[in-house]
Amino acid sequence: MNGSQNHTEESDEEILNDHSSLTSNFFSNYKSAITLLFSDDNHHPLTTSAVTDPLLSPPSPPSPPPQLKNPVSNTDSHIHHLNSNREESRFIENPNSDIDSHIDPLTYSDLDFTSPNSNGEGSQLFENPNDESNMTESMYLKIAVSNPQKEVDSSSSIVPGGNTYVTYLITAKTNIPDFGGPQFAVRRRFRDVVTLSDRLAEAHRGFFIPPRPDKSVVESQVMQKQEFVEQRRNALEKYLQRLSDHPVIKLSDELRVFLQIQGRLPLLPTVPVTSRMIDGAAKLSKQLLWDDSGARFLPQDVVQPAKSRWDFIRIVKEMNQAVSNDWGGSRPPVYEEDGQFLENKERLLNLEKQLINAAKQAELFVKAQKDISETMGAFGLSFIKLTKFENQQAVFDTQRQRTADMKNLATAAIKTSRLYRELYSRTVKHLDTLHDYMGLILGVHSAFSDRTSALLTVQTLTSELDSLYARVEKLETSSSNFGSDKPKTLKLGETREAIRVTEDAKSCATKQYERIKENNRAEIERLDRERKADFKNMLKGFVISQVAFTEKIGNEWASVATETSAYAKHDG
Amino acid sequence: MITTQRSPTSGGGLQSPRSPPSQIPFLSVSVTDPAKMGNGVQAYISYKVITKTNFPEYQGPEKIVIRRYTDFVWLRDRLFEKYKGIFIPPLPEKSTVEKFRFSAEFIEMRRQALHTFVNRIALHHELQQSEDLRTFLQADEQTMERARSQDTGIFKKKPSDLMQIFRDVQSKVSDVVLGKEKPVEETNPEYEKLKRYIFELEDHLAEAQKHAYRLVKRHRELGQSLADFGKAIKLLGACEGDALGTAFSELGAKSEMLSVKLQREAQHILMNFEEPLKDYVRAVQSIKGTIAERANAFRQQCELAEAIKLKEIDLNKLRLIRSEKMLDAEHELGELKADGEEATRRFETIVRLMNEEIVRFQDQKTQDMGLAFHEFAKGQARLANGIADAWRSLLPKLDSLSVS
Repeated sequence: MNGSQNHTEESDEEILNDHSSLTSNFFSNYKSAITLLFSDDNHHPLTTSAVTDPLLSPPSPPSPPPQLKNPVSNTDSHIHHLNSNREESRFIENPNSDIDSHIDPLTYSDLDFTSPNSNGEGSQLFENPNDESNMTESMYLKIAVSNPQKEVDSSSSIVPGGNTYVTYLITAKTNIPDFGGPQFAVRRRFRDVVTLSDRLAEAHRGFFIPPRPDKSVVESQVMQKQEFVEQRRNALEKYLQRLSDHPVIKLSDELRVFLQIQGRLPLLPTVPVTSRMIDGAAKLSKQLLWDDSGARFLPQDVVQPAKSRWDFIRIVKEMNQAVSNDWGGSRPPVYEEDGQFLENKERLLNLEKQLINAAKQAELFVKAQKDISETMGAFGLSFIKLTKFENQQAVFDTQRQRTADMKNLATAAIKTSRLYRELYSRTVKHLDTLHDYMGLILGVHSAFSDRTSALLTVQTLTSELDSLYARVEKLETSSSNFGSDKPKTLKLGETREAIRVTEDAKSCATKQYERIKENNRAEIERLDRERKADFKNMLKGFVISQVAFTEKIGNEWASVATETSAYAKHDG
Repeated sequence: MITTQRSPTSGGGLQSPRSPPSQIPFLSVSVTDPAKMGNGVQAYISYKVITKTNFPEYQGPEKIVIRRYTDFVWLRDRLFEKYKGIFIPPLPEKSTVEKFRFSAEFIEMRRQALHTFVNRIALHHELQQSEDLRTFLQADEQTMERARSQDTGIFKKKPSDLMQIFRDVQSKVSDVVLGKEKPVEETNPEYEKLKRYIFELEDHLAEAQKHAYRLVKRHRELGQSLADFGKAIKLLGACEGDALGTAFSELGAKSEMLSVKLQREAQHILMNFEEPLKDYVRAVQSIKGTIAERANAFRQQCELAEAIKLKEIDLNKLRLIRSEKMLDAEHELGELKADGEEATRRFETIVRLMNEEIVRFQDQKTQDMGLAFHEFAKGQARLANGIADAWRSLLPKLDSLSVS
């Protein structure tokens, strides 16, 4: 703690000014804090995403040997030496500060921990030991969303002068073979993301698909457009990255098309409600009337969940079915597995609740760490000022002695402030796992409702079949009392045809249901496995950071205490 | 040296006599046992004041009286009147927030401050001779009350009133009495420097104290949030079950434990650092009062000097015309000269005392602050190491989680 007084003070204030520039109002949400943390300096799209989550970062591309799976040391944008440096200390990048040179490298030996399997998350959906699964594990897809731009929708005919909307630049970095290249960039608007989300939901029933960001458009009076766009950009990035981390979805066509194909998104857009209803109604009426006039519908159409097609008549039918199920109607055949499923469901719902609570408390805790850092810094600075003042005005030696003491205190306070600040940002990173899983677990709901609606479809078809069979029986047994056989034969033929079609549909629906069930099961298992690994890493990282930094803080103050111990003896 | 933090609530004097009692004169006082008296709006806190002494002027070796805050204020005001030039030890402020008035924290802080106040007086070689001090320490409550109510007149000039006078003096360019454009301030450059120093020092100290208080709050907030976080983590752990769940719940337990440590540290900072700092601020404010007194005394001296000059001129005129008013004028001049000498003497005493006091003050503050810094650093080290130890103890368990 030497060097010229002015020199040190400058750098202290510099550091502290650095501090205060980050204290803007949207710091209250620590999620935004993460954005700010990483987009602090030059916001380079790919480096941003690459440093977001160390646990999901790829095993270091070919060369650099010691693979540091150390969440505490590698992800801060201030750190230059990613691989070589075990020291937590070189995180403060300020060449002017001679205070920094006094921050010793950590003594704690276990700072750099590596998890047993080099990937940590073990994202395997299919548990075969062959190469293919290993390949899935090692395939990465990193997303960055940046550069929002306003564009005009010239094709819009509703509003004269056109609609404006925002597009985002979406860059992807990958080693997945299907992509046929390492890096891509496209421009997409939010509507495209909605489309992607819908298509994915349809194609991947039963999977825990992370929910997409809200559509809600905030009034421009409520939030600055800029802030809103920034929030949305951040949310999109998180969402797309989550999709890219999902072992099945990262390989999906829908996602690849979204990330790769330039220009208009070649996925079927989500059709507006009215036309869907009409579509649905038309199709269903054909089902009902066995209209032979040419339109054939595929069994596959039937197995789409009614909701997304707004087939309101079908919805009514299925609702009736659901009611009759509840009222002890025909027992569907698959109930024996439900026990396990219901158990899991309950467990996951409870987990969700606790996750939300924990994430909230984590947020508050993290904010408190930041607050104490700031106050400690301001505290130290006020003593620096006092020291300067007293020194200028000193008449007595005792004053100079006092200022020397004060300086020690102030310096330690400022160092402590910076240490707390760094601890805060690391804690944010570690505890962000809670937030991540909170998002992921929301995907559970849609997966479970996929299952429920698939089951409902099967049951609806089953009872349809029952009534069709009953009809056949009735037709057959009814004596040829009414006139000619002809209409009866015809009716019989038609009914038998309907039975055939419905049997096909039911078999299709059952297959679908079974598949969804299996997806559910595998996903639950994957979620549990990955979560345990991630949580373990979170706890460990959190604890290690706390130990490392509070140890340093303790040392700072211990030396000040020693230096001022003479005063304690004067006591009495 | 009086230490602010060594004041346990249940009495315990500070200056334990080191040698055979009757040899070395000592006067030791403690302020203890705050008790709420009365009801409603009239309610107040009373304190037990215990005096142990071998001073001959005192009634006996030990005396216990009951005093309230306004009694202390009375004492301070009397001393301020009588011992101009001496930095009278500061008193804790009146409470501005009603609901806070009877909180345990406030009462304890006030008790400590009052304790320090009386002891500083008792240790000051001049102030300890004060008759008013004797009254304060020994008189029964009725006598005390009478004394208190008597002084609502002449002596009720609080330092704040004097501050106003001081400000007026500073801002008045022309003096009414003299009717001339003459600044009534000393032109002593050293003293000017001192005055500026005192005024600026107060600002700096006040800011430091403000941040110190905020720091106390931050510790409390961190403690609270850590406790809540710990609870939430425990609940989350219950969902997980098995080894991971246990790890969670241990983490939660540690969090709750550390929360307690943080609250304790907050209290420690408040009592052993923030309060001494506040005391420092008050001491500086008290000095401002003394500065005002000095300015007053100086002005009086100047006024009288001026009046004497005028009188002499007058007298000479009268001498020339051989007026019968000459005798009266001579007499008046004599009186004025006596007053002038008195005023000069008073002023010079103040100057002398102040010079001594400032040295004492600086020494004392270095000691006081040194101790406060020490306590602060000790507390912070203890807290940080406690936190590090607690978290560190979790690591073996977390490590063993790897195997699964």
